[in-house]
Amino acid sequence: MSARTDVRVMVASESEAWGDKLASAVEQAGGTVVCRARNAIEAMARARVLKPEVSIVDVGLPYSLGRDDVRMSRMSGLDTAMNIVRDAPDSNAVVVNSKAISDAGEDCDSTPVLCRQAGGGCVPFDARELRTHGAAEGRVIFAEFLFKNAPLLSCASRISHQLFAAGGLFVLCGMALMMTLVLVTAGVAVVGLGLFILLGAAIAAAVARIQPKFA
Amino acid sequence: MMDKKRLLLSSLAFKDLEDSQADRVLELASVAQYDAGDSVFWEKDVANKLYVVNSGKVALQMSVPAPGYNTGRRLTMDIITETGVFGWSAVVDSHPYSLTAVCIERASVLEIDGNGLRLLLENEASIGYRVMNGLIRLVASRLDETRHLLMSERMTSEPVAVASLS
Repeated sequence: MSARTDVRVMVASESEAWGDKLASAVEQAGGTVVCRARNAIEAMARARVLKPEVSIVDVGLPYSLGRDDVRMSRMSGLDTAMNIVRDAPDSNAVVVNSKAISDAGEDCDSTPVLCRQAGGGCVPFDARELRTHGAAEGRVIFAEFLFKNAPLLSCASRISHQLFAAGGLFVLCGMALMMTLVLVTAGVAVVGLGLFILLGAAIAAAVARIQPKFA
Repeated sequence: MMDKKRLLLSSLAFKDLEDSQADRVLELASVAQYDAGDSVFWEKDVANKLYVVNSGKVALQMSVPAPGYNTGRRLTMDIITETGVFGWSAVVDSHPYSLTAVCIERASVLEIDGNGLRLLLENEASIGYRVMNGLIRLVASRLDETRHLLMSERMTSEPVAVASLS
């Protein structure tokens, strides 16, 4: 995690859950979320009053109210970002692609990361960089929101490790029961269960190996 | 990346074309890539290309006057995604683009030469009819969606206005 900076950030997203993820990404990048907004009107008003240095805006932000039956009701993110930097030329606005948020999905070990699109790849931001990385045109930066696997283990590999441990324990317990000679049948059953869990662990390990990693 | 012909035939404007007719259109087409933040064209530019989005998202923005500012403010009128068509002004002779197209995520688009397409539509009546039919469908769908938006905003603002009176 980056060291906490004094960069004040506003997060604007209609979805509470995505807003939480964006806020979490900001915290991961070392920024401080000073306010949240659910639509364009709210975002522009809060930006005027609270003057955040960086505004992170979901591209699918509605102007007032998003409606599922009206496709065009959720397309004010870019306008909002442009208006915020226009009103406060010393601030930056980051437009985040909401599809990237939903596509990213959730992983038990994943860490939300904000990164800028560059040459087909994605370069992670830290909060200070968000403040200084002003693009020439109105300081609107286009960003992706991805989940980065935790540094040591991915979700699947963590599950496989846990299953290996549990399976091994069951096999050992089963063998101990078999050695009592009285509970042989129960021991065989426990060993069988342990082997079954070990098989699951092997499958999880294979999944972890083929799982695409965030670079 | 989607096959060029499949992409063309998946788009609302060209979906009625036969395979051989799609090939004639594709002779005028090339693929281009744009990064997020790139402008594909600007409002009032000479409209010389019609675009079909292969991947990514393109925002169509309109400039509106902004009191107190030297330059206009831009409002997003639509966001075009995969298989969507934009820049249809290129099919209409001497018609400048009425909106600015900005990529909001890295996009791959099929660019169709407007002059060549107009000539093809003039010379090949069947292709001309089918493409124009598709373009009318496209423009009508945009109009329909705009109507829906207008209605929903009025329905949303009415209760707010009534509440503010009481």
